[in-house]
Amino acid sequence: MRIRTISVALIFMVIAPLLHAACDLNHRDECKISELRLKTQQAAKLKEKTATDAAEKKVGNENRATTAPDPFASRLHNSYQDFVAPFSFAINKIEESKDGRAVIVRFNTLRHEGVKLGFTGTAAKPTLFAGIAEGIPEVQRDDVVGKLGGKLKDFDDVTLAASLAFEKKVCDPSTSFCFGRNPQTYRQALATQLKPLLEEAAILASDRSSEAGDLEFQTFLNNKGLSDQVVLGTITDKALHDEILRRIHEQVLLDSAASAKAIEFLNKAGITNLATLLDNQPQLAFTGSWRNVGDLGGPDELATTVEFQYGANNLNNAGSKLLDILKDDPVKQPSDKVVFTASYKRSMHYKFASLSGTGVSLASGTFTPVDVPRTSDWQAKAQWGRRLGVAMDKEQQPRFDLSAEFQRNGKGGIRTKNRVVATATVTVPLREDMSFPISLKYANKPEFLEGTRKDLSMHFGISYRFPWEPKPQ
Amino acid sequence: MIVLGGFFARNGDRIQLNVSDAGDLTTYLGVLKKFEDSGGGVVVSWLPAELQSDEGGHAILGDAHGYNVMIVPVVKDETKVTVRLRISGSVTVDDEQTITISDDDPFGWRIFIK
Repeated sequence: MRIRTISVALIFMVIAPLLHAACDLNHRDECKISELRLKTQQAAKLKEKTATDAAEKKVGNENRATTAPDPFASRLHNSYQDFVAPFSFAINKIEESKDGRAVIVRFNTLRHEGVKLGFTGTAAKPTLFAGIAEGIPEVQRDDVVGKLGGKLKDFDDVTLAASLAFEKKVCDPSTSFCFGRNPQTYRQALATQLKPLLEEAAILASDRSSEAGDLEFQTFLNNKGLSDQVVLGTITDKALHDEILRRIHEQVLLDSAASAKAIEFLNKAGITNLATLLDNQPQLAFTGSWRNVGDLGGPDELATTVEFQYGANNLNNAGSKLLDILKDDPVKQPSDKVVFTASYKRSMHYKFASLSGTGVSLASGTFTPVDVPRTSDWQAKAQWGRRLGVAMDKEQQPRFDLSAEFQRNGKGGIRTKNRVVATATVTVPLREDMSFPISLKYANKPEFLEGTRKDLSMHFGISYRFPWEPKPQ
Repeated sequence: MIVLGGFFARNGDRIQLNVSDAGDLTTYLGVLKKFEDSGGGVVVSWLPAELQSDEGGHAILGDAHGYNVMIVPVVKDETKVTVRLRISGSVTVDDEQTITISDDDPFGWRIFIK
């Protein structure tokens, strides 16, 4: 009996800390004093942010669909979890798509000499090729399609993809030319350059009044034989309990006031411009994928893309003058941006002559064979744009953008489309949310331009940005 | 400053700060700032490589009213960060916390010297 009592007590001692639930402000007595203070401070911060974002969220939520995700991904993920476990050394992450129709396996990234190579495998919910359904006599279509749907296997729609990007694990833009927009690449170099700024922010974030207030608060707890690791609900003296709550709120106000000073200081130093500099870093990436669809799913597909992006106001160009560039007005910085993308997609020749191999037969009539020739699709797009140096308004400057698009399609080895469209646009800002774009378009064939019979056309109009849309950079 | 907790320690105790997961922080700096009647200031600061190493950023506490052990983050999008503070000497403290960061407000612990 005594052994059993000791065992129960030991088990309780081990699991009691684990049972301590996450702190919730609606159940303050279950929180440690330190947790309550942290949560109160975070809630005050969130309240401030929510007030700012309220209008945007209202619009966003009204338009959000609430459909339950397909169970395919979750079933597949659970069924093969044990099988995948031995390969965990090579797998970085297994994800289910938001709609529940695909499982994505991301393999560990390989890095070598500034090149990053990544692989993914995706198993999507297979579907019957539309051409097969159309080949079934209409009176039996629903019934036979249902039976053929039951013949589809879990791995009948698998895509293997590889991506190659130029990106070093660690790079210092003040001493070398760096590719990529991953913040991890620049963390050390940025911290080195921003050190004086961040140290000053640290001094402001904890001022004398917040420190003195905290010392008084902690000494008060100490004098009462408590620490901030004590769970509030364990304090039975109601007056002391309420006094602690009052002091927490008082201290949170002091800490928040100091925080506001630090954030204001960083904002004035232009720290928010850092995200733009990072987003403008040159980026060069190649991707290739092979989609293997089962016999009933239609043609297999091969796809490749190359993408290059560059903005002149970037970390490389800031070099060792990062603090000066951040502080400077972004409008004065070079605004050139270049984007180039090219892609090639090929669908293989697909033949489905009869239903005989599927185990499903027609009660009457005949199946119309499916024969889809191979198709190819080349696309390329190049864009360049910059703000014009004409001073209309400090915040709003006219822009000049050039873009060119090329598309060539083929079916069964015969070219079906050969399209080139080039556009030059000048955008004159009228107000913060309104602009007047004038564009000149050229196409190699007039049918690619809307409402014109010449190969050159001109468009102008008014562009209006709704208040909840983000400002263009 | 977002205060993760407060501890009492003594002159001569050793502190160690580690960042086990920096999430999507653009960058950050670890700072040990002391406070005293005359004001105080930065005692030492640590770069990300030091904080993410096993040894972390470390220092010996001296004679002051107290210290702030802080991370000053630079954030683009909201992210989760895991930080760990250890104090050894007259007291033993090992506090690891995961915190959601949504702006550039510094966060960390306050240590009061007895």
